[in-house]
Amino acid sequence: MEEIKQKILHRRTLQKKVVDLMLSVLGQGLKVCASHDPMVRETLEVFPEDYVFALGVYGSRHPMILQNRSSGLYRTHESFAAVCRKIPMAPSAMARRFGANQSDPTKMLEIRFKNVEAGWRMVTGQVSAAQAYARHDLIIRGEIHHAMQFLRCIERVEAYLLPEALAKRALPLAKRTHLPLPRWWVWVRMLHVKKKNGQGEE
Amino acid sequence: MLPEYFEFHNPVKLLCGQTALENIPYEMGRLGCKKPFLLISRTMLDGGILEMMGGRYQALIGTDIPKDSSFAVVEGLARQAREEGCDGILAIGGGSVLDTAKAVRVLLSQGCTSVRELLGSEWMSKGASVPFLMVPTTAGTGSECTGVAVVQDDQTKVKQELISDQFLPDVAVLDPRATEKLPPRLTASSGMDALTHAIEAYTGLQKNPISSAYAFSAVQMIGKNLIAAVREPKNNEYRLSMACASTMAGIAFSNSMVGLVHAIAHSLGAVGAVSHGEAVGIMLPKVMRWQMDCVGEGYGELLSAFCGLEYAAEIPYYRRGEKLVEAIEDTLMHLHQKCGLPYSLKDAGVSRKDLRQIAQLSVDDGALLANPKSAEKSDVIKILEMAL
Repeated sequence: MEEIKQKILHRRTLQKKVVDLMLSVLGQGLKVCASHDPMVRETLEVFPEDYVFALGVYGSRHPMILQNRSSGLYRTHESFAAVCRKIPMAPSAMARRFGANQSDPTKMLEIRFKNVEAGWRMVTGQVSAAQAYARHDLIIRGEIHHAMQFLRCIERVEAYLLPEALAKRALPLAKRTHLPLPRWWVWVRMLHVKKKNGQGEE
Repeated sequence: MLPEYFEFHNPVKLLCGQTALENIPYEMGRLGCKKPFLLISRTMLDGGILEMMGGRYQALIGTDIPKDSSFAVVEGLARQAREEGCDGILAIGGGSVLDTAKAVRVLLSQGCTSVRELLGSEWMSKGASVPFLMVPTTAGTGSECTGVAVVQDDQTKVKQELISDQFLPDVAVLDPRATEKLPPRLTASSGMDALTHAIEAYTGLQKNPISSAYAFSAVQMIGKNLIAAVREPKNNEYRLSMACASTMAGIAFSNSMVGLVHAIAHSLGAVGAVSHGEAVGIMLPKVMRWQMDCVGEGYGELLSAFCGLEYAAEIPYYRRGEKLVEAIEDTLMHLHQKCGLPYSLKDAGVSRKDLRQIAQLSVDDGALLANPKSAEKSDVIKILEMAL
């Protein structure tokens, strides 16, 4: 009996780590696509400066926090952001820059999976965002149409990051649209994302 | 086929029948409400509905609710209720009054002052108890049994959807006297709204056996009573049947969401100022044709509900979906001739130059997430052109 319980706990812990890792990777992928994929760029351009997107699992810190800045999307982890805000000696500008702080709740979108299993299903391409919503896997805090736009961008990035066969099976948009960028190129770019200059170009 | 996982939630007590209004004082006492905030349209107040309920008692009455409610209206009413020490809400009116009342109730129970704090889906936890009763005066929105409220954002002019089971009332009262003043055109458009709710709930991504049972029954009742209710507006039996059908459709879609028809209808309301019931009526057959390849089988199952078993039995199973669409188009044409319900977007005053904007808003609407067939902007434009 104890062995079974340990097995379940071990599996859950591993799944949680994988989900956190995949969400961080998705966040990095979004940074790349925000600069290079026309659909993602067009969708995220309408969001105001300092708008914050947060994605995570209920009951734990967000592994993916993205803030829309003029220099591009800034990515951080909630643990890092919380530490930055708490450092007493740090200037407030530094806390703002690295903390992805947003005090206005109307300039935030927070999406949480209700549990680790739900996050696992979505990051491993077993279900699309629409199917996750249909299963009541998602908790959304913020405007619903912003959530729709963000989830479309997430699906686009998943279409790049997942193997083609898996992406076409799980993601309805991947079946129907041709991706403008090669997959390998997006993976390589994720290792180093250049910042935009003031005119929005790299 | 049973879905891998589903949720179903409907704790609303329904009082349904000729003397349902008279039971409201008892229900309020049972819920511990001594000073309700009564949100009611002026027409219903002047019609003597409070007298039917047993006369006036200690209540704060609010009648200044515009046709399209907004954040400012909701926040103002919530502030008023707090200042007057109201301990419950009774809403009597159409979709707008009911949605306003839902948002006011949640502001009070969650202890918030701004509707912006409520935006989202499924994040709210149970707040303070605020007894909440509803009396719908239209038979279409099903708002008395849904966990969704639609309120317009004053700043962006976008209709925001608020989704949570905290919006469900404690009691919903269906009395034919509440809908007897409804003009035939409104009866027709709200009936089409109920039909769309039921059909989209039956075929959506979130469908489950329990919501499908409610949706099927709703389609059955609408098929038998919609045209009769428009033809004989004074007949209480038809009115009550339509009210029940609308409630069942509301329960169905509250637990399995709506789809593309509603996504487009919301945008038509925002851009073209088309009333919701008329917009869904125009778009329903067009969207059904567009997604026939995905959900034709589901539509075929509904043919027996809408047109009767004998008719459906004569049609080969692979043509039943198409026949349902034809039957709905015939109903819409009949209602167009009988009471002027618009049949096309042109009838409703929408022009070709608005289509792109409508399509863009539609793909950003939350309702699209649960549609069985994924749609992009180009697909929506094609569908809108078919409806023009």
